[in-house]
Amino acid sequence: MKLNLKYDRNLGLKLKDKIAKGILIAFTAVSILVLFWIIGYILYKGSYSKKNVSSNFFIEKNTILPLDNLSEGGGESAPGEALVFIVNKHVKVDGLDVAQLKEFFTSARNPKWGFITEQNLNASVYALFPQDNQLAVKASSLLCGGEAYGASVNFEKSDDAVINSVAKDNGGIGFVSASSLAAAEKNRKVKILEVYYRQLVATSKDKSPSSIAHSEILRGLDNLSAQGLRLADYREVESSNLAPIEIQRPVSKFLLTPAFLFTPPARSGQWGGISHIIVNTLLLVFFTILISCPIGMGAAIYLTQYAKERWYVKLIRLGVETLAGVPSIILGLFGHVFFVKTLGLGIGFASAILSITIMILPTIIRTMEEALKSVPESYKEGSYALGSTKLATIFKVVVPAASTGIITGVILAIGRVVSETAVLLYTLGSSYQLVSGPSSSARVLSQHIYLLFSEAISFEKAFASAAVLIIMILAINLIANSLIRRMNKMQID
Amino acid sequence: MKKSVRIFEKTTELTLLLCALVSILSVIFISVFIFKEGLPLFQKVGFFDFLFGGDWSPTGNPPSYGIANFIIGSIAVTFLSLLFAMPIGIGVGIFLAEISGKRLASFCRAVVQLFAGIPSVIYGLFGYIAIAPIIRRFSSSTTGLGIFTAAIILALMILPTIINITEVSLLSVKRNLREASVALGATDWYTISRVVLPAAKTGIAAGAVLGMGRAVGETMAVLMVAGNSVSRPGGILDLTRTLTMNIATDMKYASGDHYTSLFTTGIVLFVFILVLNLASNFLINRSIRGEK
Repeated sequence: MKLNLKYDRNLGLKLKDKIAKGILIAFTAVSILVLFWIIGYILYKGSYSKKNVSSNFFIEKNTILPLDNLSEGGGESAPGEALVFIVNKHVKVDGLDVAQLKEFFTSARNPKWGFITEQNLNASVYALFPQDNQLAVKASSLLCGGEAYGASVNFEKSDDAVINSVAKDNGGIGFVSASSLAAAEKNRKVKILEVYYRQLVATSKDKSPSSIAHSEILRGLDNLSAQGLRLADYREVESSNLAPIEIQRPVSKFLLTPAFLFTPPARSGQWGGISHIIVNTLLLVFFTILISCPIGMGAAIYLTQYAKERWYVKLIRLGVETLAGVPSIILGLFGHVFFVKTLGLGIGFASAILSITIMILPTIIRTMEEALKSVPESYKEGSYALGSTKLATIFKVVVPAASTGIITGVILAIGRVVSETAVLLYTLGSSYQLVSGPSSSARVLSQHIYLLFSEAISFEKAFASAAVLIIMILAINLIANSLIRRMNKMQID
Repeated sequence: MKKSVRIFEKTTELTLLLCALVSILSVIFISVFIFKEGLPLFQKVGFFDFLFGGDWSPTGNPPSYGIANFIIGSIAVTFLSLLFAMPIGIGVGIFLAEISGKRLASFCRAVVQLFAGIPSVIYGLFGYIAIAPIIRRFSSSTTGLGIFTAAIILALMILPTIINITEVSLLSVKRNLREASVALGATDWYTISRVVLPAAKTGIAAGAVLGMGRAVGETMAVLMVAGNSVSRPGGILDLTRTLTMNIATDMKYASGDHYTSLFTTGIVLFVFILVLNLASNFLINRSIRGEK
């Protein structure tokens, strides 16, 4: 009986053991999964975007805009009575609808491509001079509805001249007669635009949906007429005052393109890429490390090699500990009142570097102290035995022996600088231009993400920038880890 | 030794001492400037009115500066985040120190380090886009933002601190304690839960306090997910504003007394953090002494 009880109790304990271990393993697994979720989510959202875009026009692969006899089938008119729209290859656009084209040709101010392609590019519009031939006159009445072209439109005498001008101008857009299609296709700097001119309308006035999915239209005309809808030419829509139905279309695109990385931002980051911001980030990192590393290194050497247990050494250690705990927003406040206002450096690069230097100093001192402490005492003794001074021993023996650890510390510090935001909010400003001097306001990657987010400028760009930042952090971590591994190996040897 | 060499040695030592003094000087400068800028507010607003006043309308007429709601916000967010992070952090710490093999532990350690390295803006972005919709779906909250969401994000951010300190303090528990326990016939878990954990409790408490300090001082992530409402939160799903958020939000346009009041908010935050840091230092020292 007694034996049996004992057996049961043991079994219970073992089960409890297993359950407890299982829970711990689950906790660990969940934490690791959450980390991968965060990183994966940001990388995915930052590199790929898929969203619904609504348009009043039906998107089709049609490169010709017919001038008269607009047919149901999609522009089967004879050549010469139709227009072909061309753009420079630099412009990242596949096609435009008639409303957008009209906007380009009638706009009073210089039109910009950004609204369509998010490129910071001025559009130069080229048109055939409306008095030269019949086609040009018809084109002008189509694009401007009988009024004059917009003030920024340039006129050319012939199709070839238009093609040449568009080819020369990075933001060029223009039209030629359909008979010059072959000539335009031959020019390598020019791209033929798709033209969308058909719209979706209800066959009867009552009961029409306010929007419809693009895939519904692609399923065929029978399907449309069954829903009481049909495709109509935009001129019919205009002349008989029909209400076009919105067409919803999923658009997916890659965000982390070379263009995003290597073009400067414009319109607060809504257009263009982040090249300036990456350069600003690298410059901030470089100068911060340049200032903070010698100081941190000096402090670490003093604390490990010279300091004895005196009161002021304890005070120094307390200072490092306290500084490590000061929240970054307090450092931001201090930077603002001390560097920006009291020292009169102004909001800009210099104030930011000094504030962030103070922030990362404890990290650097701690990691370097660890590195210096790990150098075996025998190295130093050997050096002293050879008659070298303390200084020579430190700089020729101890520091070189600790170099891997020191470099690891620098890399970890770089990681902290790259990810800091709160210190910079009121010391660095928010200009998205390239840094031009110590007093120039700028923004770095983490700040750019915050500003894109908080000012609701562009979630897409915020995520793409966040993905770039995550990649930087991952790279920094990888390097630091491999260095630490190498250091451990060296210690074992 | 030559005289010139000795002078050189001395000046170098002095330079190194100066480098070491930079951090303590920074702390002194920070304290002096924050207090110098923030204290004058008390000439116009009573000390208790500032701390316990529930009305923050610095641009109103007459202006009113009461940060009680932000203190409540900070405390609520911090404690909730500790509530989430402590069990998981301690659990992972125990796993790393006591259960897992060497290889797995070093992999997990690298992951935890990565956790610590992720910028707070990214945590904020993630909280807004990924966590808030989940909260919105499963609760009555209309925005999905607020104390609860902020606490989740903060819990993720302080997890590495708690894991690290738990692991370190568990590993520093003397081997003979374990051996004695096992020799008495205790199982692994019994040894961990009744012998090792109690022996390491001071260290773990230090980790909790350190995590608390990080949570109170965090700005960007909470700024993005806590909703930034100046009214007093009534429940954990309500929007709130913390002390750090108050500084970050209002600095944009503050001037005059309003500007001063942000530094006064900074003083409160600073004192809070100092107390927490001293407490964690005290605990860490005690746990080290305990070992000896």
